[in-house]
Amino acid sequence: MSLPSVTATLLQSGGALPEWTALAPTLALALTALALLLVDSISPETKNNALLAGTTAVGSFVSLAFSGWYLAAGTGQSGTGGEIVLYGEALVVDGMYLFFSAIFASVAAMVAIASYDYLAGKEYQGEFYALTMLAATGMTLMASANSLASAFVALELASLPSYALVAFLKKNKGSVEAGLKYFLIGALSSAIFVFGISLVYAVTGSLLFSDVAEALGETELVGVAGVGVLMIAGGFAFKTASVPFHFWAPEAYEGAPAPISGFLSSASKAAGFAVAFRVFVEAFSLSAIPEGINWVILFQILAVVTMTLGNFAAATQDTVKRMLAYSSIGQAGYVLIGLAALAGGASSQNGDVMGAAMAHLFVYGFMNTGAFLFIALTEHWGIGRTFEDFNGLASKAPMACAAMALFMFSLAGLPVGGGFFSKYFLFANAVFAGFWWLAALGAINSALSLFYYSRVVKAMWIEDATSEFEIRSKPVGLYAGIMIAAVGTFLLLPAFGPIIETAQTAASALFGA
Amino acid sequence: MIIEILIAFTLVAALATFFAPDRVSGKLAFALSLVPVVGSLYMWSLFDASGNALLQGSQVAFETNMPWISLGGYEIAWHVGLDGISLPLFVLTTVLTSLAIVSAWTPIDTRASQFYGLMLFMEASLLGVFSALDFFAWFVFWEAVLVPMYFLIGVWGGPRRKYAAIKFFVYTNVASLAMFIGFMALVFALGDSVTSLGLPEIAQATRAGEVGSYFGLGAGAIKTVAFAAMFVGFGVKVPIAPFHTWLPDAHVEAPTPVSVMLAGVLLKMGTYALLRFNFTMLPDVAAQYAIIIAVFAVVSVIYGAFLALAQQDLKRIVAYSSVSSMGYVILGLVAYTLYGVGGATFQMVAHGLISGLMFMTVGVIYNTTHTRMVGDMSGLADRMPVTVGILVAAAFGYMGLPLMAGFAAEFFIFVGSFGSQTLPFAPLFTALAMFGIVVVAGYLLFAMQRTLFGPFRLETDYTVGPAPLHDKLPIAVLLLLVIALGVAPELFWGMILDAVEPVLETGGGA
Amino acid sequence: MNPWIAIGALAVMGVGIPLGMMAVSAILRPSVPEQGKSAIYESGEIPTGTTRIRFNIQYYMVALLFVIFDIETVLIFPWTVIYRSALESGVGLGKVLFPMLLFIGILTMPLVWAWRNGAVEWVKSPRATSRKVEGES
Repeated sequence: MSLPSVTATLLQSGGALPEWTALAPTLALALTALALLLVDSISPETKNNALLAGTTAVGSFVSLAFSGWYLAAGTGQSGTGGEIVLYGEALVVDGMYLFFSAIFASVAAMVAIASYDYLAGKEYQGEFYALTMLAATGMTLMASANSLASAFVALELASLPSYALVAFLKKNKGSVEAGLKYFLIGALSSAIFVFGISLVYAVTGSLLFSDVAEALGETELVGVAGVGVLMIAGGFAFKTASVPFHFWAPEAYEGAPAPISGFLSSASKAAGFAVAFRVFVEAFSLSAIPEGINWVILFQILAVVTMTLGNFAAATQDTVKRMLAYSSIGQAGYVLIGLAALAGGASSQNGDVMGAAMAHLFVYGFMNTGAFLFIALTEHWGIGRTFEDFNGLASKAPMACAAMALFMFSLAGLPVGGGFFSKYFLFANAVFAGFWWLAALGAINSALSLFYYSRVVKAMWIEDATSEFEIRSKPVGLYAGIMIAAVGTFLLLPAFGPIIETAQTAASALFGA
Repeated sequence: MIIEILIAFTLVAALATFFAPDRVSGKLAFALSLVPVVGSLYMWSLFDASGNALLQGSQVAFETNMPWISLGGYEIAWHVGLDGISLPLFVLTTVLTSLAIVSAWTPIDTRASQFYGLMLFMEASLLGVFSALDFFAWFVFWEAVLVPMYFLIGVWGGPRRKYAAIKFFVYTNVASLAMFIGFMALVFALGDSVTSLGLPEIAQATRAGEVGSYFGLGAGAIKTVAFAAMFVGFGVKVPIAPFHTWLPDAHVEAPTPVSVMLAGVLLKMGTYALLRFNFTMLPDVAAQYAIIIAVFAVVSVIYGAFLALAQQDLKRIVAYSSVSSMGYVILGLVAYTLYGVGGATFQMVAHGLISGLMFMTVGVIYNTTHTRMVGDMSGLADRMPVTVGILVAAAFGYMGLPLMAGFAAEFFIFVGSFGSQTLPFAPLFTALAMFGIVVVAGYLLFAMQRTLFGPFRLETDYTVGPAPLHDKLPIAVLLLLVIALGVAPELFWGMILDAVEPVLETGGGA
Repeated sequence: MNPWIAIGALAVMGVGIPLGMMAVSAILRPSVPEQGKSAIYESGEIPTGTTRIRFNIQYYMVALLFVIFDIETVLIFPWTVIYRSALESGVGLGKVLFPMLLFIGILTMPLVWAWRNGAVEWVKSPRATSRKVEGES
């Protein structure tokens, strides 16, 4: 970053701030969660929705501000002495952690603001916000985990509140069913994940990523280690809603409250990728891992299958929310290119392609959350779920529909939002890394995605209304959330430079380049 | 800086208009759109560039070049600027948008604020297309033009608007993809000799013969593939027959002001890009396949003209004749002489004005008669004399009457193509293309005679009287501009020649 | 001699003696099947209903809250063991006492919240309340 190095030396590595403050993005979220519990303890009976949503939003913004400040000041990055390792190497603060924390915090902020209206008149508001913040805390910890143990604990901290949040509408059968399915598949994949960890531990005798990488290089138990790696990959596939652990995603996203669907499909997915990137690059580093365990091929298969299956399934859906759910599986497939287009050796392409995947996740955080918040808005208005139900909506709510059109076109990769650049950069970097076929498959899938994304736009703007809408009010919070997402998506088009630079620097640091 | 300010202002104006109340939005949009008009005319008066913006030894006007993003080994910059080729199109865009907005006051009666907002958004994107000198910046605008156009046709179009909008969207998107792949193959084949995606750097590298082999193909093959992919990509936009089938649908379904923009400016994007990319970067390939390209051009001219002859719908007639007129542009480009390429550029502007005028006038007639079928009406001259007078004048302009812009443009093109060194059988192609003019004159006169003169008759139940002033004003202004450009082509001709000359210098068999 | 033989012998004896005793008594005793013998023994109470009943969810709530104390104990215990020696060896109070207070504080927070939200209040289900009222009248 271009900020003067004077600022950089003032922070943790220079001694002005104690080292633990490097975790401030996480701490801000955790403290917000506790504060929410406190507020709810003081007056459990009264429903002070504005106070709760406000606290959540402020906490998220504080966390976001810390991430941005640290990123600008160079905390944990090569400019100021490299990553900051904390608590017996359990956690690490580096560019990647800060970058992903920024994603989680901004998504959480949008979700919190939008939930102000979504939760109006519902029970258990304090719990909703507190669980959201706890999940966000877990996600930031996932991004900072430096050992398999802390990775697992962080993953559980992010997952357990998510299960409850999906089943939040406890009178709604769909929501409860979604929560149960999510929980069961989550429990299964957690078990597989932790079994994989134990196998890796058995082979390497350590849980720290760096020790694991070292020990893997000399191990003779290649078979056991390979099974362990495969199982850990399965755990991540669940969290990122990738094939073959994607079955929960459409159900959970459709049944959950729409802001939570946005939260899960943007932030939770990004968290899964954050920890997967770190584990596979640092612990199962390509330069150290035995010949027999070639996880790059595994991710190539996963990427191709995930993006193709997600896109084709999305194209055949009747309801908008389910279409978005499947499309988010497809988007996970694009991001998997970040792990699939890697090559052994210290190639600078590795950092670039993974950085492009991270930048895509960043942009995706805005446009996808925005799209789900729009769904939340339609649910708030009591508009049906299918494409036809959206017909002619633009004549009643042009501003929200304009934002939705922006999200859809940006998701499809048209240059009205940051999605255009992030997708082109991802594919271009895959080509530079020599994986032109991955990029080509991605481009074909992306072209297909324009079909179903534009269906929403066509329904809202071009089709005539088939029924009368009863739009009683224009909820301030939902509109604000959607507008923040829309402005963010649009601004990321001209301002994509700093994002991709930060992401690629952070990713390159991971590869030790 | 003035280019950025104009684009940014237009974007903000688009947003403001989009959410303005419907009642005032038309007037508001017109008032706001005057700012880019004044700005572009001011730029025209200050214009001091020399040479071609893409080639060495040139001076680019109003240039901004600052780093934006880096993509792998390639720097992407925010690089905009104007030269003698792009400035006329820049001015054309601002003027035509303003007039199109006025011409929309009568026909657009639903969701007006959104309509005008999208028009201004499209103007901002078009200004970006004509001023960007970096591939990615250019591509962003190029793609961004599609989005408002999709809505403008899809929401305010005629009965088959959904079909037309989707067809337009799919055709141009697939074309963009082909173009993008072709261009990227070219960039990759340049290897280390380029470090940015700046169009000037790439153009200079390709002209310097830096194209290497890539992906198992030799330099020549790569250049041919890239040329073909880009030719198809831009050809859809132009449109060159046989890629033109989206155009009549889009034109017929689109409301009048949108047709004006589509014919007047959007088609020029294709020819402008052909000149900038294919003919500036790969002149040797263009020379090698000159005959094939010339055949495309002449087929467009004649096929378009004959298709127009067979139409009953006035708008379809003008739409197909656009295909014909754009064929002249291609012919001028492939002739690769000073007058040919210069004339082609001049024709872009001239046809932009004339076709805009034609569509607008047909629109004014439609506003009163609510039919565009030639057989449904006759003798309109008595009832709306001013409009009909302008339409006749416009038609003569289309036929290439001297002292009108169309004559100047076509004259330059024919002079240029007749003397082409690179195009074999150049006189033959020129003669064939000239035959197209005869057909144009034929169908326009025929349609005029049937609809405008004779005893008054109308099949629809509307009373026909003189059109309102704000309908007549834009067509009058456009007619004046067409005549002005015909009388004094020097307004643009000098700067066009200046910018075209460097393209030809090392060209031909380099 | 292999020392494992002794362990093997113990295992054999350990399994063999109870099995043998059960076998002997089964052979010797008379068989008189009777309902009272197969009934569930509930410390003299007469058993009612089946074993497959649903427990009130509040039992689980209490169990969950117990986990807070459980974790607290597990971590406080080793801390108390080293607390004094750590202080004596010159580690500041901020590093010895403060983290534990923070930890307890974090654990207390949800406990207070759960308490305030009625997790430990033994709310009766509407059905149980109505039954009770009927019994009184």
